[in-house]
Amino acid sequence: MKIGTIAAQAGEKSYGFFKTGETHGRFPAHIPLHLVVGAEDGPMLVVQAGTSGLEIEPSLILPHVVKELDPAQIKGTLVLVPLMNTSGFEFAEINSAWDDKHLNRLGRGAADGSVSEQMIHEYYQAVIAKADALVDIRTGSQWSYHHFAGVYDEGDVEASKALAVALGLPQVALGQAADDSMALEAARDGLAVVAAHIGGGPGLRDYRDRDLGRMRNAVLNAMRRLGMLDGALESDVDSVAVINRHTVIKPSGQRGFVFMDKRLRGAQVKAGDKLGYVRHPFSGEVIEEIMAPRAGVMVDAGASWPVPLEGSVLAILGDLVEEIEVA
Amino acid sequence: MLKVGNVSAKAGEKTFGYLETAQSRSGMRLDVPVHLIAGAQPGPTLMLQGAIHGAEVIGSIAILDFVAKADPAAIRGNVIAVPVVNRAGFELGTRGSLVDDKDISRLFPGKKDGSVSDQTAYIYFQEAITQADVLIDFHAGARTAYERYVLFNAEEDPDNLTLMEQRRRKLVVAFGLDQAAFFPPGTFGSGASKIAIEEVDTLQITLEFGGGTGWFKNGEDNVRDAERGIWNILKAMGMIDGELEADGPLCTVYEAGVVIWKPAVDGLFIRDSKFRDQLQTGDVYGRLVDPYTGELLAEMPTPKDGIVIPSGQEWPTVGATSIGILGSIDRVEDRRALDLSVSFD
Repeated sequence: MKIGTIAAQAGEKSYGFFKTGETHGRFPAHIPLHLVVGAEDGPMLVVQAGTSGLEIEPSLILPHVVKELDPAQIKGTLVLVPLMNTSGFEFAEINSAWDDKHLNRLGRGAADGSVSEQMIHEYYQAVIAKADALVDIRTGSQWSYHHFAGVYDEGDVEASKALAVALGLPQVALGQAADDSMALEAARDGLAVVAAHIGGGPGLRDYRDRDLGRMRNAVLNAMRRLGMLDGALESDVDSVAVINRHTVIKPSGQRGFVFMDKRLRGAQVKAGDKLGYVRHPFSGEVIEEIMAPRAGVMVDAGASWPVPLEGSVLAILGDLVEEIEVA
Repeated sequence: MLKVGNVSAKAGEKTFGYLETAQSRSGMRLDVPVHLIAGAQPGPTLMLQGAIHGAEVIGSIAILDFVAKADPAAIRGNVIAVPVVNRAGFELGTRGSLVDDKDISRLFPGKKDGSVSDQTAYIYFQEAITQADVLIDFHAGARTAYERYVLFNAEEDPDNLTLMEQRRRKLVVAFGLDQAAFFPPGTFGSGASKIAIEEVDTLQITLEFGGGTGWFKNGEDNVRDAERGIWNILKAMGMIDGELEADGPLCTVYEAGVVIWKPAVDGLFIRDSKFRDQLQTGDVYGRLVDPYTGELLAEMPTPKDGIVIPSGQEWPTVGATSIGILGSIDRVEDRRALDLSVSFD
């Protein structure tokens, strides 16, 4: 198995940088990548994280998941990217510092595009296009806090849903918004794809061990689901709520201090229920109340820090489809 | 009449306006939002200040909560409440002002003919701070850290306190947190701004209160306790009646002289120490690891024995500010045995 210059034989692990080019200042455009090739044939799973340079918490645990794995016990191949956006990480930016592009908003990239578009193009062709499944781990960065597995409406939805349930997160949200991501392109290509939203800075102090544990479980559970690894699924929840999402609330009215009611996460709300409110940051007046436009279950997701980024998801609502035991 | 620049309030009134300060090159005005609460009866002047570092907003919310509830008819004296000093930093979520890349908190008494932040600091200092008997300055861990203690200036001679130092000791404890700290002189820069504030006879205490990494679980509690502290200060200053409320009867005061800084290498930061951990010299406070392989790049040992005070970086990158602070216990104040009232007659 060889990806760029990173090679591993059956039963081996390897690590290196998937190199795609250089910037004007001769810095490498590259992606750190772990390759774990099982002793036996099997499917190929890609796990990627850190496409935003501020979604870096997965790199606290993902390299250790690789260390935990014994290739002799694995069927198939795991490709794991713990932190894709190295320049964004370097300069504490969401986008690539090289061309101000969000690496997960470039689709499958472009061979004749900018530095990032070229990098994503080469990565997509060399890695994702050859895979059977993709787990795209996303976090709430420094502003939001999430715990759900998103499934796109496109491609093999049943396979993606089954994979999402197996990750062991408390909720699966069907109807993940089309977002120009690599994951969406992979779904369109027929891979089993999950956008796994796990954790975020506002919960880091108090829930770090749980959140990193959920990232670990997500990787190992995906491998188990795909038959790459033996053993029972690991999860800190007994059942997974599958929700068909119908409403995404983003800042659309007044801006200021935004307070969303975290106690409603996971709860059923009625149309017209108050989900949060916006306060004038200087006068203190409540200038907008954020209401549920229709009834639904609140997905465990959304902005937490009271000064959310423009375009942040404040809340997601959907209809409960089923509860599935984690088994 | 309480007057801060172009904003004013008559006795018994509560008003809100923008203190006119400076304008940037694009025409953006950086006027400072100011609430004035002019008590119906005479008394001292308390000033509340939030978000002079733009992303440190827990105190800002507490100030707004306080202002919403405050009744001028029941207050003796005046309150000048500024929820957000650094509007440009607040807008962009940054510590300083990107308009001129300056930290307003380091500029007092400011410059009339300086950059936009220099001018803002000058007008704000002249119009607001110089009027205050007490300034409560709210800071926090922004989005990347978490803190919970009262910070105050080191005393020149603890056995021979000045009047301001005597008052400050009381207000530090009166605020109601269970931990407080002072930095030995020179620990963080020259402290010129703090000196300028003291030279106009304004007593300053700083709150390092809350932060983004603990917001999801603790944000509401932090805001509530910060507001509680504001009311406590009014009570201690005799501006309203009532009993003080606190975390508990004791307040541990640390001499916080051990600062952990980033080592020569950089990587992904993992903090191993927790608040109140007692570290011996050489014990590891945190580590830097390779962000892609998890391999250890460097350990950050404490250079001296110390107790981890409730302050420090938790987001897995480190920046220009300190990563952690350790201290030794200077004293433990027992609120039950203290008269915490402070007179400004």
